[in-house]
This record gives sequence, structure tokens and C-alpha cells, in this order.
Amino acid sequence: MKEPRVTSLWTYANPKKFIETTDKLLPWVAMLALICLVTGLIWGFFFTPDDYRQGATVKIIYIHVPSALMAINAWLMMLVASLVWIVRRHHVSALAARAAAPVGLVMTLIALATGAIWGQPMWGTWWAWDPRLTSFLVLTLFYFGYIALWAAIENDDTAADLTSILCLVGSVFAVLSRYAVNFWNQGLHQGASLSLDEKENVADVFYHPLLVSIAGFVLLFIALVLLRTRTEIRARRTRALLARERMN
Amino acid sequence: MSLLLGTPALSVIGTFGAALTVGLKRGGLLLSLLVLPLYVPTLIFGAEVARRGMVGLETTVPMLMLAGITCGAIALLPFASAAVLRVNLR
Amino acid sequence: MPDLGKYADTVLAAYAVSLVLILGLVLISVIRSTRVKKQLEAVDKKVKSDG
Repeated sequence: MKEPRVTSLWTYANPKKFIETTDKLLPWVAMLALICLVTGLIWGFFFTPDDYRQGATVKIIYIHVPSALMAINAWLMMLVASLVWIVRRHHVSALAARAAAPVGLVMTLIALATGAIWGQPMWGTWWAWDPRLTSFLVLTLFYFGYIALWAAIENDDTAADLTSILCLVGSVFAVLSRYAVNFWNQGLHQGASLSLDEKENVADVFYHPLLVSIAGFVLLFIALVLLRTRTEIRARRTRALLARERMN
Repeated sequence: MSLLLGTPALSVIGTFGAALTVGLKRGGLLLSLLVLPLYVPTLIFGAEVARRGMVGLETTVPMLMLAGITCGAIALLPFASAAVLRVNLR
Repeated sequence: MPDLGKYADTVLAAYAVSLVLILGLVLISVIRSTRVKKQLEAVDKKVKSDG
């Protein structure tokens, strides 16, 4: 392996270097994630007032909003990682995408669950076929499909190739649908996001704990992906060693 | 009318799913799972067109959406399917 | 516990579901990580001893 003269991000594409670096990094990220999560949620849960219209249910915002954000961002990260795999064939990148998917899935499920639980007393319904809710349901299906495809294919490189194409296609469809829906003026969220995001999030008393919570979720995502990518790297190495053993 | 607009998208999506799962044992279930989220926009706009048509409302907007999705799908998926088949036939 | 009023069930349910999901994910990830690490160490040793 040639030594890069300037340290670039790509040195971490080396599996061994990735594990060595994250050996030192992961505990800090995990700890920071825990601190932010606990701070944000406790602050939001115990130390914020109730909303005039929504009562105490506004406290759900400290989980619902960060998880929804991470649900989308996880897929974006997978998209970038898939593109890096397609272009530069760095295994760590493909494995990172694989590692991130279950985390993204859980985020999506949390967003859907908290949304439904919040929606029932607020708008009298667990579900509505509005653009945002439907797109999150679709996102859940994409996550399941992506994870299932990885599991179904034996050859690691083939699996990486096919899943990254799936990720790309899914992303394009998501963008297409987003543009289509922007012309379509219906939906439960339309009213809610205006009142919640603009009027209420302007209120610092809600906004600050929300920011801390979001930071916590982001860090949690990063910590989990780092941990899971390490696992994938090791699993892959184990498979490679076993395969070599069988040939000798 | 909405069927006419939507069918090419559905068939191109189906081909993509089939390409991904070709050669997999019991690939049928996985195929449905992969293809379902891709079907959803087409199904929703198609249903909207039908609904509005039945009630007598104007159907232009959802028809345009449907046409847009179909065009996007037809433009993109054949290339994606070809790439997938190239990988699977290696 | 702050006075959650008539929405107590709602808020607690939402928080509970989320915490369960997050903790579940973290536990699964950590357990799998330890298991795979041990497997790799075992295979590594075997490969080295087989020469």
C-alpha cells in the first residue's frame, strides 16, 4: 500500500486503520451521545412548559423531530457511502452503508410510532395518507428491502453492488416524489408544521432542548454506525479467513 | 386513462426488481418487498386520478404527477436494471 | 414527574416505545459486536496455528 504524503480522509478507507482510529474515537462519541440525549430529553421532559393547545404532548417533539431527521439523514449517508463504493470500491464504505441501515430503520419506526401516538389525541387519528406520513412509510419499506437484499446475497461484492444501486434508485424516486408532492396541496402535516415549526420552535424555551436532543440523536447515529461498521469489517474478515482455510 | 399512464412505470419497476433478485432462491418474497415502495407513488397518483375522475373533479394535476413519475422511472430504471444484470451475470 | 395532565398516557407511551427501540438497537449492536470480535479472534488464532 503506498503511503499518502498528505493525510486524507481516504486513509480511513483502509479497514485496519478504520478499526484503529475508531478504537480511540468510539468511546468519546458514545459518551457525548449519551450526555446530549440525557440532557436534551430530561430538559425537555421535566423543564419545559406545556403547550397552550397541545398540552403535555408537545414533549413528544423531543423524540419525534430528531428521529424523523435522522431517518432521512441515515438514508442520505447510505447514499453517499453507496456512491463512494460504486466509484472507489472502498469496502469500508459499503460496509458502513450496510451498518447504517438498521439504525435508519429504527429511527424511521420511532418517528412513525411517536407520530401516531401524538396524532391520536391531537387529530383524532393514528394515520393519514398525507405526503409526509406516506413517504415515511415508503422509507420504512426501502430500509427493509435494503437490509433484506444484503442478507440474501452470498457474495460480498455483488451484495455491495446491488444494494448500492437499490439505494441510488430509492433516492431518485424519493426526490422525484418530493417534487411531485410539492405541487399537491394536501396533508395533515401542512397545518401542523406551520404551527409547530414556525410559531412554537421560535420559542427558545422549546427550541434549545430540541437542539440538544437533535445533537444527541445525531451522535447516537454516528456512534452506532461506527460500532456496527467495525462489526461488519470484522465479520467480513472472518468470512475471508474461513474461505481461505477451506481452500488450503 | 390512469392505468395507461401508470403501467409502463409498473412494468419497468418490476423488471428492476426481477433483475435484482434473479438467481436468488425464494427471491419472490424479496422481489415484492423491493418493488412495493417503488410502486407506491404510481399507485397513489393513479388512485387519485381515478378518485377525482369518479367524483367529477379535475384530474390534471395528479395525471401530470403520474406522467412525471412514469417518465422518471422509464428514464432511469432501464439503466439501473442493465447495471444490475451486468453485476448478476458476472 | 411533571403534571402531564390528561395526556400523560400519550407522552409516556411515546417515550417508552422510543426508549425500548433505541435500547434494543444499542444492545443488539453491542452484543453482536462482541460476538463477532470473539469469532474473529478464534479464527485468527486457528489460522496462525495452522500456519
